[in-house]
Parts: sequence; C-alpha cells; structure tokens
Amino acid sequence: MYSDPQIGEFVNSRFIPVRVHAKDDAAEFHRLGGMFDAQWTPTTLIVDPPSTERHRIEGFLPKDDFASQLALGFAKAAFARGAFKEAEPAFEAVIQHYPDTDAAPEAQYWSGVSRYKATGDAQALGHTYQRFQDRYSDSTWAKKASVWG
Amino acid sequence: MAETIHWSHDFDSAMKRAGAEGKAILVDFSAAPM
Repeated sequence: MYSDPQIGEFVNSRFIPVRVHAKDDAAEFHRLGGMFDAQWTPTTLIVDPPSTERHRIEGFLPKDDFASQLALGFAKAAFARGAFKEAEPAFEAVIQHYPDTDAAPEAQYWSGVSRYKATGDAQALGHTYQRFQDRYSDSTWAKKASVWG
Repeated sequence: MAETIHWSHDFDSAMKRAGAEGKAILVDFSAAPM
C-alpha cells in the first residue's frame, strides 16, 4: 500500500513516518503498542507530539480507502490543533479526491464544523445540513448533521 | 516492490523532529515482510 506513489508523496510531505515491526522490532512494538494500545497489525496511527493520537486505522483497507483515511487523519489533526482554516480545505480534499469512501461523509461533516469554528457563522452548519440532503444522506454523519436543518 | 516512504525506526527521534517541523507522526504497526 505504501509503495503507491501518491500515498508515498502524501505521507512524506505531511507526516514524519515511523514503522514499528511486530517481529523485527519486537521490543519497540511492545513498548509503543502498550503506549498507544495497538494490539493488532496493521494499525496506523496519526499522532501529534508528544503522544496525542488524532486518528487510527486498524486492519487492511484497499488503496483509495486507505488513502482517504490518511487524508482524513491529516485534516482531523489540524482540526484538533485548532487550525480550523487549514482543516476545512483538508476535509474538502477528502471529499474531492475520495468521494466514494467512508471517509467522505465524515469529512463533509467536519468541514462544516471547521468553517463554523473558524468563522462563528452558524450558517456553515445549515449549509452542511443541505449538503447532506444532496449527498451521503444515508450516512451516520447525515444523522449527526440532521439537527442543523 | 519499490518503497517510497522514508521510514524512521526511531520513534523518539521522529517525535522530536515532528515537534520541530510542526508535523504529526504517522506510526505504522506492521507485521508485513520488510
């Protein structure tokens, strides 16, 4: 999966990538696995220094689904830092590049929240509600946005 | 298969670098052949 050029470029440009191998780095796997409660492979974590987990991907995913989760995690990390103006376009990129993945409706939800947090304008939430009427209306995230209608 | 990721195997050093560069760490717990 990581051999895909697009995924490689995304990871190298946005993260500091660390690999912990269950057998070849067994002691480190045990130490960090305990620190982050990682009991299974593959598990991919996006972590802000010093050790704040922002996103978790457990188990295998096909390429686009995996790439979408990386992009979602990148956006969620920006949101969690309070960088809402950076987070919104990062969430929108998930929708644009991976519209048919599970990450897309979640990104649509958080994009609206990011805009609201950045501007204080509650219309951002109403607009997000409307977007869910047009797309991803069957998703859990549409249910969460339903209170904004 | 070409490996395109610049993997570090030193978490603590990577964390310091992430802090200095304002980035998050991506930690891959793997059992795949290296």
